Amino acid sequence: MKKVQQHYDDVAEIYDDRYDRDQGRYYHAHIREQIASRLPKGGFLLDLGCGTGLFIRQYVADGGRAIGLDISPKMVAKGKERYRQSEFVVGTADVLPFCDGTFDAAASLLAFSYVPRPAAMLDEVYRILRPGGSLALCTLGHNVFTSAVPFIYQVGEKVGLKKVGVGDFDEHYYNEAEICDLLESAGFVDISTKRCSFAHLALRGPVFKAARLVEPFVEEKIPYLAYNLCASAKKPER
Amino acid sequence: MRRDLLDILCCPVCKGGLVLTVVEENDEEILEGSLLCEACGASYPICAGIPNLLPPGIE
Repeated sequence: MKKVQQHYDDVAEIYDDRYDRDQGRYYHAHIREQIASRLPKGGFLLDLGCGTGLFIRQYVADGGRAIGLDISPKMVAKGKERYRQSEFVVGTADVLPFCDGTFDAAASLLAFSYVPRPAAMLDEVYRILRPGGSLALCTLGHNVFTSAVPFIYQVGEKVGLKKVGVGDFDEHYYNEAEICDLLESAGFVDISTKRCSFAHLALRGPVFKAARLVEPFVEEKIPYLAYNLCASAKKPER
Repeated sequence: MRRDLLDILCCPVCKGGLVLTVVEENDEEILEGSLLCEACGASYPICAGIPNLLPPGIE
């Protein structure tokens, strides 16, 4: 995780240029909508791997309260600078510094793939949620496109490419069965998954526009081609 | 961090209660200080208003 922390500290200044502008803004907003639609509005949220607070901004604007946790001190410093009404904490998602039953909701956007102990993270999320609380996460999904990505990133690192989200971090690309098993083992119920994202922000302009047009169709009819995986679940009421 | 955040924080390692020491604060929040776990003795810094609760050894 040291490498992930270092990477995000290095790119904190330019992170929002990627995910809060142009194509990146659409890409990230689409994921945020998928996550927000799976969580109760107006609750108390913990965002795991909150980065610069892009999802916190949205959750609070929709009437909720939120705390952001991230392993990168520089990313949370950016978040705190922008969203003064929310609290930000440096920490790691698999060993959480919050009391049992604190939150109504937990979210994690594009961070779960980098967590080295996913089962421990889900145990901890279960612990800090109140009974009946909800978790929604979006992670990198395994498919025909993403199976080549780790190799490309390894080459990218060798040639010294330094970009947000580009690096070989031993990240894991999940399929539906894996994520369902993990959630079930942690005790979650009402588990559901959905593939999302077909228009990738790295695509060239006209191709991105075309991909964006067909994105709803791909997500619905040929989900295997969508490369992110959303999962949601609940902690039982009792 | 605001003082009321302490109500929901615990030691990430042993989940013990945390004792706050303030070095600098303003009207809104604690800017510099530390959080000490009563149970296991681990200490966590608060810098520029942000508590760092990474378990010892990971920070």
